[in-house]
Amino acid sequence: MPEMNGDDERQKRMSIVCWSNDLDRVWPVMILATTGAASGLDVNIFFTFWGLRVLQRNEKRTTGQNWKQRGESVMDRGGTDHLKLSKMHMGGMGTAMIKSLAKEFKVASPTELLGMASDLGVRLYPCQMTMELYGLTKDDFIDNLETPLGAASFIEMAAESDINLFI
Amino acid sequence: MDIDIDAGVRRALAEVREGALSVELTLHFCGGLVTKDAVAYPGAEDEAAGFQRERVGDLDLYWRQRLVVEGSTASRVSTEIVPRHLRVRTKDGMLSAQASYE
Repeated sequence: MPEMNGDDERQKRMSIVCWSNDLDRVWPVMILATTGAASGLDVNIFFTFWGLRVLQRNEKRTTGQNWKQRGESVMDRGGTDHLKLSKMHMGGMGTAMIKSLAKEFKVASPTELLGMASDLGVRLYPCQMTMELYGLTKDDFIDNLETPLGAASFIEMAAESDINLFI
Repeated sequence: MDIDIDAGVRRALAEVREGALSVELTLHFCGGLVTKDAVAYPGAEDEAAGFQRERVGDLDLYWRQRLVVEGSTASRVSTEIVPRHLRVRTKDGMLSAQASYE
């Protein structure tokens, strides 16, 4: 990582809002985050609304405290292994085909990229409000996450960033 | 990192009386994708060049992880990213490696 020598030479910062858990949105989020971090950028990702499900452990089937939250978690399974295409999912066939193509071309999967992001020091922030809405707790998530954030804290972070993306 | 070296690799190395194996892993952050490459070859490598040595049974495995970023003139060796699984096997009489980061 580059050295920080004062305001003019501070490490460039990128903040990304991951709002969706569609495969075709999460993949670019992870590619941009890892590429940014590998290039020496300080990278933050804020996972909110549908995007929060990306941080869920793959083996977690149902989550939530009441029937509405549990029902939602069954309908929209979380974890990077269960992401679906927003178009041409075709009951799983389209998604399986894209994943198979990616494997053939040795493209790193979203699960691999999430692990790499963590290794490269990308900070992964769950959205506090969405956690409460879905009834998700720390135990439902993968390891190495930052303290959950609210909108005001994210805006503060975004205001300090050189690149801000909403995906 | 889980390391899995097939019996065929051990036999191939024994045939050339080699007790070491090297694997170079590369992640390419280029062209809007992140792609993985892994190359395995007989013999030891230089730890000063960023290779890490691991004893796997009766073999010495030397491995390093390189990152190639689009627009950069040189690749860099990363100690931050470590594959979760590494498999080395023989394929069509050649050594072949595959890394997984899941």
